[in-house]
Amino acid sequence: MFSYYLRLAWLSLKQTPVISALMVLAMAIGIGAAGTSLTVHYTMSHNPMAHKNDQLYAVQLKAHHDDYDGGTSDELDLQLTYPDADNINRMSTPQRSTAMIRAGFSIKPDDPQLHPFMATGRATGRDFFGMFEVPFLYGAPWSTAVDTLAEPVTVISRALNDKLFGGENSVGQTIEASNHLYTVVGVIDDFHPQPLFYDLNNGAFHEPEEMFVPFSLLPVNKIEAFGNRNGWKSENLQSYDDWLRSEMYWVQYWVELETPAQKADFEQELAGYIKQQRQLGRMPSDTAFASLKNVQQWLDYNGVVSEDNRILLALSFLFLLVCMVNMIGLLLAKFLRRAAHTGVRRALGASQRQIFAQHLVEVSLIGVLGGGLGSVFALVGLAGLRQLYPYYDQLARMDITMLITVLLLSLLAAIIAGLLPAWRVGRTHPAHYLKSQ
Amino acid sequence: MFELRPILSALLRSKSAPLLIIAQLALTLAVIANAAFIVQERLTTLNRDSGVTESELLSFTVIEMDTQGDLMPQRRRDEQLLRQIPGVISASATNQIPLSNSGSSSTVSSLPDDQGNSVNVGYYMGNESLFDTLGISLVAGRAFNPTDISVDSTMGTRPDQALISQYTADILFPDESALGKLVYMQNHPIEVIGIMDTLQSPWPHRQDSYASAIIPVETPMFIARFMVRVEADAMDSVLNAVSDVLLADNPDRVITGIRPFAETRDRAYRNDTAMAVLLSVVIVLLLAVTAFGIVGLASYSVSQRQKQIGTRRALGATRLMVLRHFLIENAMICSAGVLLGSFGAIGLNQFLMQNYELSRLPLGYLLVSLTGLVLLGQLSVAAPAYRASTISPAIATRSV
Repeated sequence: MFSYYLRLAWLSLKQTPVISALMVLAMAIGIGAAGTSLTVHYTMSHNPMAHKNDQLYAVQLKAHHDDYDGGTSDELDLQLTYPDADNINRMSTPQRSTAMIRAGFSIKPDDPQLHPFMATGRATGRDFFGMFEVPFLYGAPWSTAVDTLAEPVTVISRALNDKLFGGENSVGQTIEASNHLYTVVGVIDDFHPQPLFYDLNNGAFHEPEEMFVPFSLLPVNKIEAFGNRNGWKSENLQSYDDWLRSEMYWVQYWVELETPAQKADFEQELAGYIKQQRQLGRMPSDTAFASLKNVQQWLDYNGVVSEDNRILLALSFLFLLVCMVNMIGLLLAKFLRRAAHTGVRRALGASQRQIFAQHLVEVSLIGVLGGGLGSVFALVGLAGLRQLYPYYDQLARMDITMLITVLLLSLLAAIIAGLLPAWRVGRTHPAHYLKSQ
Repeated sequence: MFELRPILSALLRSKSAPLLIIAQLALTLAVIANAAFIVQERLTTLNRDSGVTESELLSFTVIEMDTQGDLMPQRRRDEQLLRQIPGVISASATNQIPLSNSGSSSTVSSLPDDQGNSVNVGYYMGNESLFDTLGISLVAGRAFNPTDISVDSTMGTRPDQALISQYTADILFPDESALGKLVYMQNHPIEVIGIMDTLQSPWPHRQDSYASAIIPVETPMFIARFMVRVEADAMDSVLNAVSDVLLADNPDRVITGIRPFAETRDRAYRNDTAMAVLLSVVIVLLLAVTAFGIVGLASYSVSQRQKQIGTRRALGATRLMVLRHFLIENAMICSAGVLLGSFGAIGLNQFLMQNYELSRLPLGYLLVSLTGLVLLGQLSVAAPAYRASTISPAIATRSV
C-alpha cells in the first residue's frame, strides 16, 4: 500500500511541477536555515567531558571583600589567588587536582637561521593529563615528584613536535623557551576538546596549548600569565614574588572527585580552610565561600553558547514556522484543486483514513525532498559561516547525527504542515464532486 | 467605489487560505522587524569612531625572550629604529592597542577611597610620542612633555598625571570641567592635564568602551605593543619592513601580530559583521518565501473562482474592476496580517529584551517593515490578479 501511495504522490507532484517545486524549495530554505543554526548550537553546547561530568569540578573561592564583583552570576571570580591554589594543592581529599595558568613561550629553534616564535603554553600539574584524558603519542606525563620538585620538563603538542623535531620521538630532547631549557617528557597525540572547557577565559573555541610545563616551576622560572589577571585590593606589586603572595586572581583550579561523598568531604575541607584563612586575617567577607562547578555547570556559567547564536536559533525556527505555514497554504490549494479526483477514489471505496494516509505520504515525500535539499542548503550555510567566523572552523561542521536530525526535522515539519490539508481533503464528500462532472 | 463589502464577503466564503496568509505575514513581520533592528544596531556599533587615525596606523606585538631583565634601553632603541623606516611618521611602544580586546583597565573615581563618581577606564601607557602616534585631538589642556614621562620598573602603575577622554570626564565630573582636577586610581591621586576628544579602549563591546586615559609612564614589560603611524601610501612597505628591522637589531624575541589597524577593526567587529550578514540573509529569504506563498495561494484562489469572475465580467465588470478586486482583497488580508504581526513583533522584541541585550524596537522599524510587507503583498498578487482580469466572460456560460 505504501509503495502505491508513494507512486501516487510522485505522480501528483509531477502533475503540478511549479507548486510542488515551490513547496520543496520553501521547506528546503526553512530547513537550511534551521539546520545551519541548529548545527552550530549543537557543537557549541557540546560537553566534551560529558562522561566525567560529575567527577570534574572547577574550584572558586571568595577571597575578596563584598564591594568586588567578579562579573559572574554569583559574583565570584573565575580564578583563584596563587596562595589559595597552592594551599588547595596540599589538600588531601581530591584524588586528582591541578592548579594552572595560561602562559606563552617564545621558543628559540636550534637552527640559528630561524627566528624565535611564540608557542601557546600552560603551566599545570601532572594530573591535568589524567583528569582530562589527554592521549600521548610518545612518552608520558611527568612524574608526581616533579609537581613538588619543580624540574624543568615539558609535554608538547603533536603540532609543536612536528615543527621542532619533524615528528620524531622527541622524549629526552630539550627546548629553549623564554630563556629556560625544558626537557621533553611526552608528546600529546590528537587532543581537541571543543569547547576547550578547562579554560574559557579567552574564548571557548580554540586549540589546546602547545607546551605544558609543571605549575611548580612558577616561582622558579617566573612564568608569566598570558591569561586574565584581576585584582580587588590595592597592592603594590614590585616583583614576581609579590604576585605570588598577592590577592590577585590569576590561577585556575580543577579537581577530580569520584563520588558525591568525596565531593562533600572536599567541600567540608574547603569550608574549614576558609575559616582558617579568616582567622589569619584573609578573606574579609563574612560570606566568604567556595564553589565547585561540574563541567556542564562551568560551560553554562561561562556562557559558552553565545547570545548571538541563541537569537539566530530562535529566529531560524520562526523562519521554519513561516515556511510551514506557507506549505499548509500551498498544500490546501493543491489538494483541494484535486478534490474531484479524490471524490472518484472515495466513490470507488477508499476510506477517509486511506485518503488521509495517501496525502500524508505525499506530504512526507515533499518533506524528504525538502530535507535533502535543505541539508545541502545547510552545508552551504555552514560554509558561509566558516567564511564569516574564522574560529568557527571546528564548529560549523555537520556530522552524521546532525544530518539525520535535519532530515527528521524536515520530515516532521512537513507532516505537521500536511495534517490539516490531508484531513480536509479526506473529508471530501464523494457525491459533491461526482455530480458536477 | 472600492466595493469593500462585497470583496470582504467573498473573502469570508473560504477562510482557510486568507487565514494562512495572515498567519504567515504576521510571523514574517515579527521576524523581519526585529532582525532588521538588530542588523541596524550592529551596523551602528561597528561604524563607531575609535578616535585614532585608523587609516595611517599599524600595530604589532614584541615578546622578549628574557622576561625579567631591564628592557627599557631596547624599547627606546626599537622606537628609534621604527622611526627611521621610510614612510613612518611616528612610532611608540605602549601596553595596549585600541579595539584589540586585550589590555589594562582600572577603576578611576572622582574622590579618594572609591567615593564619588567612578568608571572602569582602559589606560594606555607610553611616552610623549604616543599622543601623536595615535593622532587623537585634545578638547582642553595639553599633551605630555618629555619631562612628564616616568619609567615604571615595577608592575604597580603610579602616574601623577593623565589625559582622559571626554567620555571619562563626563562621567567623573558631570557638572564641571575635569581639567586640573584630581582623579583616583587605586586611591592614588592623578592630575587631569588634558581632555581628549575621543579615544576608544581595547574593549569595543564594554558598556564604557569610550572610557579611556593615557598615562605618561613607560613600562619595560616583556610584552610590548607598538603602534606606528605611517604615510598612507607607505603602509604596505612599512608592514613588510618592521620584523626585519627589529630582529636585525636583536634576534632574541618574537615579533607577532603585525597588521594594519583596519584589520584590527575587522577582527574586533567580526561577530557583529557576521550577525548583520546572517540576519540580512534571513530577511531576504523570508521575504522570498512569503512572496512565493502569496503568489501560490492567489493563483489557486483565482483558478477556484474562474466561474465567478467570468460571471462578473459577463454582468459588465471591467477587467480593471477584476484586477482591483484581487488587489484590494490582498490589501485587506495583508493589513490584517501586519496588524497581527505588529503585536507579534513587539512580543518577540519583549522576549529578546528580557533574555538578551537588545533595546526596545523603535516604532519606525515596525512601520517601515509593515509598509514593505503590504507592498510585497501587492507585488506578489499582481501577476495572479492580472491573469484573473484576462478571464473571458464566456467562461461563465460554459458547463454547469
